Amino acid sequence: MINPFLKTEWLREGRNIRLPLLIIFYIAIMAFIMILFMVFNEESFQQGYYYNTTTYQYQFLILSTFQIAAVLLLTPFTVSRLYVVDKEKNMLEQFEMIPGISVQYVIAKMTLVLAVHALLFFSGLPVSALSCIYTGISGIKLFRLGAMILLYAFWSGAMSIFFYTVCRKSVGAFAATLFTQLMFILGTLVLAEIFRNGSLMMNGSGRIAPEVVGLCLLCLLLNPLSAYMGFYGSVTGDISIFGTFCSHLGIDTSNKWFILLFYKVSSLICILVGILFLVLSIWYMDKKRKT
Amino acid sequence: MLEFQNTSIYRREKRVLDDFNLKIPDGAIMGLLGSDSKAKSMILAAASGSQAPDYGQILLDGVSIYQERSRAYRRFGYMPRDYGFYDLLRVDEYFELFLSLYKVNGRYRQKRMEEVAELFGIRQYMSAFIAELPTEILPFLCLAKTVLHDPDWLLLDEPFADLSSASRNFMIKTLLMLQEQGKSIVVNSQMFPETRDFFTDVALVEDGRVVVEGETDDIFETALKKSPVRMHILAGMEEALAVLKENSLVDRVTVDEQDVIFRFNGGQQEEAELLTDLVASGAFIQNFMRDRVNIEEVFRR
Repeated sequence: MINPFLKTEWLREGRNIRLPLLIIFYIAIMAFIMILFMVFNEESFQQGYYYNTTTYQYQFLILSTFQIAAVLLLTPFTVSRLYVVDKEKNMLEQFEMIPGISVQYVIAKMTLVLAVHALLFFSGLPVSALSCIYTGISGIKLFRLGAMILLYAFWSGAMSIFFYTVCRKSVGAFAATLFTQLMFILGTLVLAEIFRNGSLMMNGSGRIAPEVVGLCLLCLLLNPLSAYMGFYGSVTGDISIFGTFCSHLGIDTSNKWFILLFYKVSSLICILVGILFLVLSIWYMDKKRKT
Repeated sequence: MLEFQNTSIYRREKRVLDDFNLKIPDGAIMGLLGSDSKAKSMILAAASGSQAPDYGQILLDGVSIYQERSRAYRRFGYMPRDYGFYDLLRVDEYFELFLSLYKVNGRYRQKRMEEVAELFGIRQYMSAFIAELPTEILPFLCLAKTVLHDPDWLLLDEPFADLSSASRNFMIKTLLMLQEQGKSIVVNSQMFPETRDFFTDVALVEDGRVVVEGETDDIFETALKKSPVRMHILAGMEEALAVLKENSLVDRVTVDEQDVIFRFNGGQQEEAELLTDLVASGAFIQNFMRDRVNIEEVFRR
């Protein structure tokens, strides 16, 4: 095997009781949401021939939002599991003398994070597919959801790996990961709002300066929610919430191609941010050996 | 030959190794002694390739290990002081991880695992989970992992710590077998009674520097000369003191009631001659012996 850590991490994770427990709870929550919708839409179920597709569309969106929120919350836990043993038992000291070990080590951890989330996605597929059938949404949307989960897992996983590499205490790493994720998700929105208000205060004409609009656009591109809004728009067919916020910031959303490009670039930036954090983790591991 | 040339290492703005120089010949079992455990661990970590020196260099057969790291790392097996294991792996899976990391492939991999298991007597544990192994096996498992890729040099950081005397003897026996196979061994350890004859060479490290180094027998002989002689005289104290005063090798004589303590700079032959003179002078001696040698203590003084 090209990366020997991969097999080791697979074996360790596969033999850990926490993974099946995680899957059970994950599916249980999804099923609970599903049943809750069935109870609230009892009438349409009893009729059998009539489905309120808009309701089930929201059911699908709630399920997919739960799955994506679970990625952001579970990834630091998953990475914590992978690092705690290595830190407590000084495993890294036994590998440090091997050239190129940092790259192999980080890639293996990242692959495992992706694998765990892929496993969770496939486990929850029957429930997601059921709501997809009720809604009449194309099955391709399910694959898009899978891709979105992997994108978020990569983004969040890379961040977690970086903080677990840098921080000595796992609690610190966990807190730092959640805080940074929050900064990317809410912080960029707040920052864009501050830019907008600042521009309006500076500029008496009541118009937002084009440079500030550019900065707001950059903030939104850094926000992983933008990528999710692309997915949301593709399911519901409109981007009303996001479009309203963009118009509020002075971004023109009337051009369909611009919006499409915006979502693609936002997803690409998520990947680039992830790669940046992975590179930083590798750099820090190498640096720590020498200091 | 492994050679440290003017090696200095600073960690967290503190000097760990200070212009450190040491030559370790091929086939030697070098014991690193002394109270500076950080420096001794750093020597091994630096030689293994995991802690690059800030100044100076570390040469293996005349070639810097940090310049030729891609080739040099396979020639070293490093056993850290604080080692751990993945409890959810089986012993054979744990071995396979390290064999893969050291790029030992093909049929040789299985053969090598069997050889090492045989050498360390852990064949029956190969398919057992590490978490289920008896605690006393774990140091041997770590040592087995260290020699798996068949390195020329073994760098062992406190391998005898927390071992019972019987386990220590077994480890020494195994290491001697490895030396016979042509391996050179550098060990950071305290001086145990069992290791006196095990080390072919010793180096005393204090404050990041080598205080003394050389072959074990020479070092012990020098240390013995520095260690005081203790004598208990029942009668004829004055005659005995007169003999001691006349002997040029005797130094720093202290009398404590019937006990006489003095430094004697001679070897075993001269020591026997002095005792004969003392008896001939009429001194009635009940006990005459050197203090037990603690070479770390002697050279630190």
